[in-house]
Amino acid sequence: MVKAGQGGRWDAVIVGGGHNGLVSAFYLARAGVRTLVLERRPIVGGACVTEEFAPGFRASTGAYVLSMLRQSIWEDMRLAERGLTVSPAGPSLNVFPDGSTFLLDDELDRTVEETRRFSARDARRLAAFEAGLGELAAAIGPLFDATPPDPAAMHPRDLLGMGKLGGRALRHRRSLLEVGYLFATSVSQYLDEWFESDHLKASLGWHAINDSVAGPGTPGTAYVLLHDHAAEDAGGGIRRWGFVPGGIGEVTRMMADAVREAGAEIRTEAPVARVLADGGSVAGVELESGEVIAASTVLSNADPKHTFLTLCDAADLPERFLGAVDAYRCNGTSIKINLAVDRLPAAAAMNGNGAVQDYQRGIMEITSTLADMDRAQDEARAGRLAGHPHIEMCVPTVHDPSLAPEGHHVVTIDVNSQPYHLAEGAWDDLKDAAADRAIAQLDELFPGLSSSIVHRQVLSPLDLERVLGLTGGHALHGDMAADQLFTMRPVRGWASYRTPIRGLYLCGAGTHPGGGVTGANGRNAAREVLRDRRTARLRRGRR
Amino acid sequence: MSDAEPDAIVVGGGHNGLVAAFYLARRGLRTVVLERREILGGACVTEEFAPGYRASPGAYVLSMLRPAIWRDMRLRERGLRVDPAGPSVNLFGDGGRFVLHNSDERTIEEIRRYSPADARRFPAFKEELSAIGRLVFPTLDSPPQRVRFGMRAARTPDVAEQTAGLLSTSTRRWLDERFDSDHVKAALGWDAISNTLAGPSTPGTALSLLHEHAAHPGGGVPWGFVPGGMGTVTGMMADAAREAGADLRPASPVARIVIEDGRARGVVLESGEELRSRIVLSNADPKRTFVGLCDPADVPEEFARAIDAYRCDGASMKINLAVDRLPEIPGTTGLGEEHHGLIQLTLPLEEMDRDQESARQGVPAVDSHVELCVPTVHDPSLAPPGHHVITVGARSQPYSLAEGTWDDIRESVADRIVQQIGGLLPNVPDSVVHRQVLSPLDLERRLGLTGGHHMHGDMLPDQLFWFRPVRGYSDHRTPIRNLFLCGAGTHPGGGVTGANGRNCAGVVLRDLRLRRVG
Repeated sequence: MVKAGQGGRWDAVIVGGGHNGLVSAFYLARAGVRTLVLERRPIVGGACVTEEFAPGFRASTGAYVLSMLRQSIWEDMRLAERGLTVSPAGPSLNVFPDGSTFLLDDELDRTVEETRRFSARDARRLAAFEAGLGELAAAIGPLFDATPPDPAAMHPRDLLGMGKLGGRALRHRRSLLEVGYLFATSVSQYLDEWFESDHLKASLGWHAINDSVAGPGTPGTAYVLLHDHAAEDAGGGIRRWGFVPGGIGEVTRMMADAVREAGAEIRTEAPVARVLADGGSVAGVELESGEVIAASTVLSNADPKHTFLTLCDAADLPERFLGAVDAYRCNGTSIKINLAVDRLPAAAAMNGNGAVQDYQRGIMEITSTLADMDRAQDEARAGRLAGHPHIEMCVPTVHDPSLAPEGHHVVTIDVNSQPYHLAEGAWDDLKDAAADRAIAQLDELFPGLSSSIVHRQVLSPLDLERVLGLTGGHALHGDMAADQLFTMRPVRGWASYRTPIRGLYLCGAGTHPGGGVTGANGRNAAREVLRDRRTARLRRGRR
Repeated sequence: MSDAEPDAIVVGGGHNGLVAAFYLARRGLRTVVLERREILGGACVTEEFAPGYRASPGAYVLSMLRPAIWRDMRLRERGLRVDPAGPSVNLFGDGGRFVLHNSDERTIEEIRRYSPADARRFPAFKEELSAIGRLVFPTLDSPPQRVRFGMRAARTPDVAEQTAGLLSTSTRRWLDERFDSDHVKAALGWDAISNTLAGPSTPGTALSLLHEHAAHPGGGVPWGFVPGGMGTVTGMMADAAREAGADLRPASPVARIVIEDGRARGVVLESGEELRSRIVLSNADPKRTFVGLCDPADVPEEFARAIDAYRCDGASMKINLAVDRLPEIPGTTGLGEEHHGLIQLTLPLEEMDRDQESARQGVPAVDSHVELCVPTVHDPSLAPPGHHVITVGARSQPYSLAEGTWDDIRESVADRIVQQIGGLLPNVPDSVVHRQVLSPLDLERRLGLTGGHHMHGDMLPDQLFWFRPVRGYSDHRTPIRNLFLCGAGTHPGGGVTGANGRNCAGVVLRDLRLRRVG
């Protein structure tokens, strides 16, 4: 048994080599902390990887577009110098059951034109709508890089945090109520107040159902409308987002290089079985192999449920905290399908001329009205696979043909409203039929898609849990609803990346500011670790 | 006074309309209240629904009427009494019975039968909610005020954050974090579904826990039943308003509000008579006011869209049963204290979620949550000797139906509900001698409630405080000058609080440069 504070080779151990784990490791190592990253799988990257799923075809198992990676991380890890580029996504094509389409473009003027086809009135209002959201995003965007203060703690760092928050609230007092409203109301309600066109509302609002069992009519979802405004304005304007040549795994590959250069060590195929604690302080970790690695600081990049309910001993945690972690909502609702196809899928509704069209460079949303999405999510909440779900599809090989053999393509598909918890049956029995149904649904709008398939990979929420270690198969490490954000992520009182076990920190997407390849969680967590180490050093010095 | 043009016209003589009229008249404004029905009181009345049986089609208990209104309208002196409610008994389909007492000690004993751990956690649960209540309840007595509330919140930032947590989360999540027993959670949390189509797992519903489980600061008056029925409250309010000089006119339905140059200038009655005034207060709900009573051309487009999006679909069916004997409550012998409270036919929260999903799809749920009370044990004069009235509220019965109309299915749904009641209170079905069935559509027709929603719109955080009825207009003023809202569709929402009417009168008097009320 290792003892807390016992000397060893490592100061800090990071459980999980996802992008946030790597970001944390980088900042710790750069500050001179002897850091070891332990990754369960043979590759690093977590849910941000590119893998061969069929001979010659490579695709991402989790994240597949890059949009919100923090500017400071780009710079500190020198990612641009390492060759990371983003190939801008084309406009998003929304295809409705009746075959009608709505093209949502990053260029506002074009989207206004598109909207005019459905409602002249909505077209007139769109610019004001987007400007309003932009203002709100500017008000809360910088909070991505801040540690949520704990108003119940009287610690100086919390008082300082509260002061800063109060200052921000005062500066943006004109927007305060609107921000409050966005977090209180539903996407449907918010959009209904602005627009009349169902096509426009569905195209703007479908994000509400992404990775949660909430529907667009569920209160608290409206803030997802900020999603398209969430990228930092780094000269590229809003929605500077797109595909990474080489696949999203390039991001974490280059991050891993930066981590090693900074002096940290990364061990793959080193699954952690337990986090060890002694007298309320973390002592290290034990691998599944039985090997014990001592460290006075442990960061978990795993989700909160996996961290506290599986890796930790319940006896080391307060009852109330465990109750809150247990109630944390973390059930995924998506099936992921990667298709290897022998030709580029084309929407029946769009004219083709042989060349790659703009929409094929973007995300294709097989969609319906917001009311239909609510019904599908009601099904999912009841544990049933929704019949006509919202499906998201993209073709990364348009941006990087080397991901597939010549002339071939990879199609990455997300089928929504497919709940982890099933009322009847087991995912292993149902997933292929569910994938068949989704592909048949796609085939009606993208004729010939099914006959172009040469291989496929289907990942149910259960598979995502098994393969990527995501509890509930939840890609964002837990629902991003208002009651699981900011000072309440993962649970109230523990949003500062610290945990009830001294020396154990969370650094994954189950912390503020949530999921997505932002790196903010890892960077913020590392900052708190370093702050605590400085404080401890000062205390020792005084003694 | 009938010769001169009145200063203020109040459209609708519900309790808030009467309260507003009282405060205006007391300051010397010539005030006229125009009520559509023959009786005043709106959704807070007592009516004979069968020969010799009287009950309320709307509100049936009194709990939150503001202390200032008790005082200013001299309600106690007029003889208004509240007979304290007994404990709430929750009866489960599995035979489980859980009694929520008014005394915490007894409730803790009851919880211990289901989970000793939950019993241990209950005091902390109450204290948390009471702390939030101490921050929130004082906001009831004025329109929402940003600076004042912000300063109060800043004094207890931890409570403010916890309030944000309560506002953002669901009843189910809040209770799941704190309790294990499904029976305990259902008994504490069913109120989540009482006035909306939201389920206990819908974010924002946790706020409903405050209503029952936070100790009210300055408590004073207990909650309970009013001898003579709820109509007694509005009857006395009407007396107070008349004494203050207000002119109350029942049977005077208003057809539209007269708007000239963007200002309200009076009303036109359905009889064709035009009545002009300096200002108009509407006690009708926001949708009825701006969609039904105003000319769309006079309502700014953006505001009209927000009113259109305002959620105001009721989800309850009301049934008043005239019965020839006292209902027998399993586990209670004879007339027990449980008869004096609310009887809940409760389901696990998960099943309430399913019922509400069904209701959202326009399908009335079967065997959904049902609430009953027996007002005649508090006042036997509401029924012939030996007989009783049972007032029933059945949840998850949506105003908007996917198929059919309420007029077609009303009676069969009521039959089903009575049968369901018989499953847990076996002597009830055979004891029924008359019944009054009010579907959400009936409530709309009879009481003028849009969607049959007796709170004048969902009380979820996006329709409360600064957002009620729509943001930018939470201070009773509207885009139409001299037109004010004073009903439950304003802050602080529904329930017989009188706060809406009193707060609105305060704003009106300020706008007219008269002194504040109170």
